Amino acid sequence: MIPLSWYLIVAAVLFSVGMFGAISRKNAIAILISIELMLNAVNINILAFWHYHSQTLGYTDLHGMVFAAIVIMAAAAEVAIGLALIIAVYRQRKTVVASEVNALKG
Amino acid sequence: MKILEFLSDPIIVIQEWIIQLFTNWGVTQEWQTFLLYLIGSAILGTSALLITLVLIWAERKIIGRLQDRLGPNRIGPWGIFQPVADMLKIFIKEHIIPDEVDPIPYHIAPIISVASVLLMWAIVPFSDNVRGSDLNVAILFLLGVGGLGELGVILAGWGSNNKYSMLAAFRASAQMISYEVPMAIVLLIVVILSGSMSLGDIVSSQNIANIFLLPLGALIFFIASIAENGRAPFDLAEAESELVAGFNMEYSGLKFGMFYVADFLRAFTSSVIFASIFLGGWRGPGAEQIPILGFFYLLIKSTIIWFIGVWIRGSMPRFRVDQMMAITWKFLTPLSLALLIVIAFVNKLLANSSQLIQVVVFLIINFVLFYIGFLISNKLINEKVRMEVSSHKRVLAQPTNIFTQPNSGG
Amino acid sequence: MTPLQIVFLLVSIVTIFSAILVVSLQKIFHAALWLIVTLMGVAILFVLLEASFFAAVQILVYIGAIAIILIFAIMLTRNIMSDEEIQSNRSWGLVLLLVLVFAVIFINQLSQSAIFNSILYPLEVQGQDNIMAFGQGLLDPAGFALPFELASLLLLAALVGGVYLAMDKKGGEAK
Repeated sequence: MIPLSWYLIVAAVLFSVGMFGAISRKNAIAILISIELMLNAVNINILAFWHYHSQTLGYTDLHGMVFAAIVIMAAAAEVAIGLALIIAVYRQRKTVVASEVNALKG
Repeated sequence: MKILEFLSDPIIVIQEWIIQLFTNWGVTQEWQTFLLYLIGSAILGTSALLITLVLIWAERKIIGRLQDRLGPNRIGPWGIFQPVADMLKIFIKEHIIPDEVDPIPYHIAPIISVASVLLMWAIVPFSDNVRGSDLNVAILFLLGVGGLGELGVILAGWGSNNKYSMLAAFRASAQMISYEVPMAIVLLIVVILSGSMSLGDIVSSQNIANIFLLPLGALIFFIASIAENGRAPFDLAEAESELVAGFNMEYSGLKFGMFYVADFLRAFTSSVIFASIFLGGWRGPGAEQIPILGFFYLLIKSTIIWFIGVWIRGSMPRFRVDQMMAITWKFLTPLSLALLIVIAFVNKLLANSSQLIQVVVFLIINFVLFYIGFLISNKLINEKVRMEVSSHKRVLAQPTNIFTQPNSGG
Repeated sequence: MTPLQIVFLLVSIVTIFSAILVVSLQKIFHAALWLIVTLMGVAILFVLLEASFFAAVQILVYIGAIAIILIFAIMLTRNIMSDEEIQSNRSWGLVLLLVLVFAVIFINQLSQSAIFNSILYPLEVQGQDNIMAFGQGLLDPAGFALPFELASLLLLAALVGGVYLAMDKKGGEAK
């Protein structure tokens, strides 16, 4: 009963909010959090299209579900490694502000 | 006859009466379902919280008897009004809030702890068609709300603005996260054996109770659920005689009461889940025809498991934090992974043979794996060799009974 | 307005509101807490889309593991980044403008596709059969066994990398 457009608009707005956070936050962990928001918006999009496609086909379409599952798995792996890297950088340089890790800057 | 019909299936009779009432009032179908769910969840939540009163009294009495003393026996005959007195005291205590707490985590943490335990009651099948909701991913739901419990602990530790609370919250949540892993793997094995993730289907497919097919899995699940709960011997996070109170140090009054209720209720809830998954839930002689009997069977089975939990609590000393971590990562998780792989193979191989051969083979596998795990874990324990203080026995002042004879001089 | 539509509107308003709070709060711990509210809202949206398996996986993986590891990382690195400085870069106004333009263009382009206004009805194949088909498809060599194996390799790489990064350089092992 819910139009597909509503889901897509919600996903687009979430993605934009996440993009704003990823570009304009200083703390590296805050950037990771915004990336998580973007990945969730992508997931909503994928599952909305999966629902539409399954409804058109008449049986359960697998492509959408596998795609969404792989996105969740990739997000989990990325957060784990990203946070390990941030904590390692913190131990060395005592900062988590993304713009202060600039030892390789020309 | 109507009374007998009512007594044999009271919940369905009441539900149909309410539906009749709503249809007479002209409520539409969707609102009827919504209101029924609302009433059902209110009744379930309230009765789960009321069971806690009985549980608190029973646990204190049993632990008292295990420690060779009477439990509470002043208030009411056999002290049965003691929890009422406890609850009254907790209700009227002042909520002392420390100075620089973070208001949102501090106030929400007890609510999340109680909510995560009450959510677990939503999927338990009480009889053939009486349950909160028939989720077909009920096992995932269980693991998910276990995760919410960890969130409550972390929020409590952070919100208290107290570094000892935070350290205790770290340890408690590390413990809870680590013990979710063997629990999840054993639940996977049960899903393989019964072919569905819904608790109703798992209970219905147990013609032989799963504990006879998977005693090792049941043992791993039992240990993991005691550790998730944070009860002794895994209660290092709130060691009542060592740290002050762990992550709920800065809570007083009803907020502490919520943590208390969550702790006790979670013990009973995990034994209800254990009874549903491993002991056959509401199944028993005559439970299909008379659903109220199924409810009683479930109560009896879960009370037995809960009693074993209380027994262990009253008898065993506490683990250290590195021992606790070693148990899960070096013993329980590899063992449950090995069990998963072997059972998945053997289930496929034996899919067509008779029930008896399946049961016997599974039992043999369980015992063999337990034995192998035991041998390996014995090798992993490195006993520190005690240094001899002085190698000859002192002649003077040496008591000679066998309890106090030292084996390393002096 | 059917009840499901009312539920959808409420949930999406809460989700978007808490997402805006996530990217704009000064104290990063509160931002992580609002992230948990956002993730819960997304899980409810998944339930509305009849992907209940993914709702459970979202709660289990995102809230139960990822959000908790984020909170741990915030607690471990909090002393240096004081919460009183402004948490956004100097050019956040320009970024806001650009993101708004991007959102408008994006939704405009989406609305020009043919299926944008179609209505999602409840699926015929429901629940258990969805999940069984999903499981069988993941392990089918003609299906999606290769992405499945690659994803498990990715998780293995993440596991090994995480342990290595966390290891004490003096040869001991941190937890």
